[in-house]
Amino acid sequence: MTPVDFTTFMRNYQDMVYSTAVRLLGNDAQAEDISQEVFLKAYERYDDLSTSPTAGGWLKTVTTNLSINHLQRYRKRWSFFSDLVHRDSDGEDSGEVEFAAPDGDFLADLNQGDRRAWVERALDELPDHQRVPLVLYHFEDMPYDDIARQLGVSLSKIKTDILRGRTALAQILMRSGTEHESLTAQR
Amino acid sequence: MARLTPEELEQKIHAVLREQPPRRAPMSLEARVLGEIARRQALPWWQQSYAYWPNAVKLSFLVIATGIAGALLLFSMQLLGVVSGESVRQLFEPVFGAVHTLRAGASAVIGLVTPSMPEFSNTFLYGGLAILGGAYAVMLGLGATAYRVLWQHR
Repeated sequence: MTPVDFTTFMRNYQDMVYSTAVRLLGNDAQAEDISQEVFLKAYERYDDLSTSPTAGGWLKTVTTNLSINHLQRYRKRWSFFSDLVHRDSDGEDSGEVEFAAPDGDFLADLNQGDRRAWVERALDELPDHQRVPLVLYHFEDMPYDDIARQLGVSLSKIKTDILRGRTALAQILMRSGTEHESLTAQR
Repeated sequence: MARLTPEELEQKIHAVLREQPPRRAPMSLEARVLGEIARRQALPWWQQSYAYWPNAVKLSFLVIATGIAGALLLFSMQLLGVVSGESVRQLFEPVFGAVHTLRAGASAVIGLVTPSMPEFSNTFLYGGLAILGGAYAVMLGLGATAYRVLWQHR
């Protein structure tokens, strides 16, 4: 192996690794630390990875696991926060969640660059217990039960967190300054 | 007021999120990774992970670790009465023999050297230790002073 080979390998995958980490963690500095750790692990196994067609999948899995492990180091705080939110808003689960949305598509009036930045910012604004399962579901295509197993929480809680995450994300996206009409998400 | 079912909301959010391109990794990431690889490669083998140890050391480690694990297992089995003490002793006879030979050799060497060594009184011994301790403290103090005066304010 030469450093040049590994540098090329890293350049091919670094955006994917960083994106996965930063969307899960919601923090640029922590995502860079995790990305570094992922590539150091990849370097140790580079002889296998350099010729493997599943190198991208391996990198994504390691990034996801390391990011979740990093978040779970603060698990007590996270669980406490999540439980608190659920206790405080138990009533909302049984009713309708209202939010405003533009006709047709979210953020339809924004240009592509603004739209992307707005979505990333909206994701960052979500609390960990909503953002992490939402990212795993929509970006990583993980089914609900796998997410519940990986995060060590119940299936019903994951479904509730993801639904709340979508609603919260939609509400944040509505603040884009486009024409609004009221929408109601019913459970 | 329009209404969205959870399924419709899921589809809309999914569409919005899946349109997102990958986030661009910071420019500093590549340099950080390559720098850390270079730093780790510069470390001596005993500070690196097992994969980077020399093959001879790896092999020795495996042999010693297997030996210790086997011995522990056998002694545990002996304690539980699964195997008899005699069979364990027979199994380890070559090891005990080698240890006995080494001990005999060491005793012989010590026996040769001891008569030529002078007798030390306890006072002489404790005095020597005190001088050594004092010299160490002085050296430490001098080192700290030299560091503060000559290096820290550079």
